[in-house]
Amino acid sequence: MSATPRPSLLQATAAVVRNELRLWFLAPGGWVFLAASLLLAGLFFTLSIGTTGEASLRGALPNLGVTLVFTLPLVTMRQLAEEARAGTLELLLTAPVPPLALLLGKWLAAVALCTLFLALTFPFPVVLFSWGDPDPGVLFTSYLGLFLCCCTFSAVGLLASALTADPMVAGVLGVLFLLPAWLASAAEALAPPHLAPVLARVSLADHLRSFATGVLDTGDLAWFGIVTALGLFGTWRALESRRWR
Amino acid sequence: MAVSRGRRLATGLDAALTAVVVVLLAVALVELAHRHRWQLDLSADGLATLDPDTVAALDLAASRGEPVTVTAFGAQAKDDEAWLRDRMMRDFLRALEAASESVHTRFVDFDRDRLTAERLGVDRYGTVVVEARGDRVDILDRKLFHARGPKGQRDVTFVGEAPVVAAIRQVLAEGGRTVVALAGHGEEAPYDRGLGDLRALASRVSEQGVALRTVDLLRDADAGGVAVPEDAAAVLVLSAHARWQAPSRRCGSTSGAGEPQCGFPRSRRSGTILLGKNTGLSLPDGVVLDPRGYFPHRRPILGYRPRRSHRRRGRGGDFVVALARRSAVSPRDGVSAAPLHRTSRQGWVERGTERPALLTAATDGAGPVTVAVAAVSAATRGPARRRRRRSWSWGTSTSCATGSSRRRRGTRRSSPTPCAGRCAATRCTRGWGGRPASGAWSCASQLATARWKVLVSRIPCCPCCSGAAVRRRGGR
Repeated sequence: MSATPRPSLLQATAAVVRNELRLWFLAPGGWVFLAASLLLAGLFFTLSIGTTGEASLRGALPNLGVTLVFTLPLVTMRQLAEEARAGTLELLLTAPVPPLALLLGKWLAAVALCTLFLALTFPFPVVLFSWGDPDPGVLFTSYLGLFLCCCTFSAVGLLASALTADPMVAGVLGVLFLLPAWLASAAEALAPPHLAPVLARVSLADHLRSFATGVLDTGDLAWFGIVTALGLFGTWRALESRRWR
Repeated sequence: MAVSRGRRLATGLDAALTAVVVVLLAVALVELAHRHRWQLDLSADGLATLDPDTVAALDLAASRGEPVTVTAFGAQAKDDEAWLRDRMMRDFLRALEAASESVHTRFVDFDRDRLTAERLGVDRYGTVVVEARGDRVDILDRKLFHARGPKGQRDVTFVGEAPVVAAIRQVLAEGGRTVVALAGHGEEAPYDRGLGDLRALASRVSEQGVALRTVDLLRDADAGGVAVPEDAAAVLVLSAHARWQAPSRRCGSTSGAGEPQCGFPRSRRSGTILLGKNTGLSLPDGVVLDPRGYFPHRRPILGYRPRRSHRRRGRGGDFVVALARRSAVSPRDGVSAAPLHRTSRQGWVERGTERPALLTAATDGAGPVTVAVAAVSAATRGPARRRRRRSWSWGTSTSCATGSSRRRRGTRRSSPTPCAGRCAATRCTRGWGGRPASGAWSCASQLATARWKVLVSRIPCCPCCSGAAVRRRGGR
């Protein structure tokens, strides 16, 4: 009897991504996420251009970001927590799938779903170009900022999902991780002066602002990258801890 | 297989330590990335990118180690475009703060934070206060934004970068040397953007270590303040709009010629002002006053034009800046300042618009006051010595600008495009008032009503700027 060949990291990751996406779209979860997010995004976009009359996503961008703060953890909450509760996580961890592939696959699946949401907001630029004169560079960076939010929020949501076996708790935990970072910019004005720089570093909104103005800032790009990596590292350590806990 | 308690503890401790190290590493990386950030502005108009002038000013602040505080007050909330003004100001403040660690910015909601406004003595929405070394400069919102179009559909543009930078330079200026640009009588504002703005002039003055500040004579006079600050090193007057008074019999005398309400004697042949001859002033060779300078309220304002003979002699350039100055100006090497005219009274200041000029000895300080100075460049070294004459022109709509600013260094001819584009209905010629003058493109018909111009050439300290031409929009 010949042994089954061990899949490569890429193959295993792709398999996990496919499986995750299939699970989302076979169940109402993915559709509900897309519908709810698009509804909120459309509402914010309409309000933004109606209020300011500005042909850009700048007014809507913070609201789109905060929409993702609440909706993405609800998508990622069941990715590992549900597996742990159902007992399939043990199987996955002992299957010939590298833990890294499992981790990356689940994260990439969440990012793909979020990217699909962003892609479905294509009417926004269409409307802006039809009735206004938007700055393409600013639009590009705005979408890039939102994409980076997707990457970061997915990683943090995945970490929350890895920390508990209860999907609902994971969802709440994910929001609790992200919300303070989002509100940090508002707290800057109230905080003591020596704390303000710390809050500025932590603040999600502050790091998203440069994208809203059409600027690619390496500091902000690095921030999103580092926080994403930190979330994935935390998830990996949480999965690892199951071996010796 | 059960894991022993000791092994679990050891592994847990190892995991915890690893996590702590990774988190610390991440924090360090974030800080490092923040400190060494690099920005790429993809917006079409590059609004998020600071001017090189601004960066230079911020570098100056950093090099001197002087913290500069910029406090911006929000616009009045009832204005339709208040949110836009506030946002643009916030963006600018963030860009300033990101570009320099020496600059600290703060945006204050005027209505919510009255205490800050009262502490700083600010009583107008949209004011920006720049502070450093115990000095401060206030900038009003009308100098920060330009609004065009009907109410509700206004196109608001942020033009406040140059004034804020000038204010930063001013508060950082060593020795407190400040050149005051007068406003309120139709003078051109040095920081107005648009066609032929005078920011180049502001930069030139700043490069000489002198801060430039605008003082609105009318507004300050109404508020009961002193129009020209006592610490002003010089007063710069740009473009005037009213006719000069013909010299009266009394004004014809040597002592009377310096009176503010008097005109100046002119040459019968050329019509140029003959200050040196009739008032005993020391005029640099070849520099005469331009009779086409006007000033409201019959106050003389001086214009300059180098004589051609002067140019032929090649005795340096004629970087002539009209100044009414109170104390000595110390320009850089190669530029000498010579007084052109002094008042014969005890001071020089004007208050009010309709009433005659009023002078209060106690307020205006002791005189006599030098009201005009020519800064003459002496190109003694470097490539500027060999360079052909170039000109700066300050005028009104009437002076169809030279295209010299677009010239390449070392080239003589300027592009005629700006002139041709602006003077379609008139004849464009090269020279001033129909007379040939190398290096300057202008419109003869418009020059006939030009009210102010300053010619600059061969500035040794900044050759690349010496050929810049500044265009002016039409008078108000």
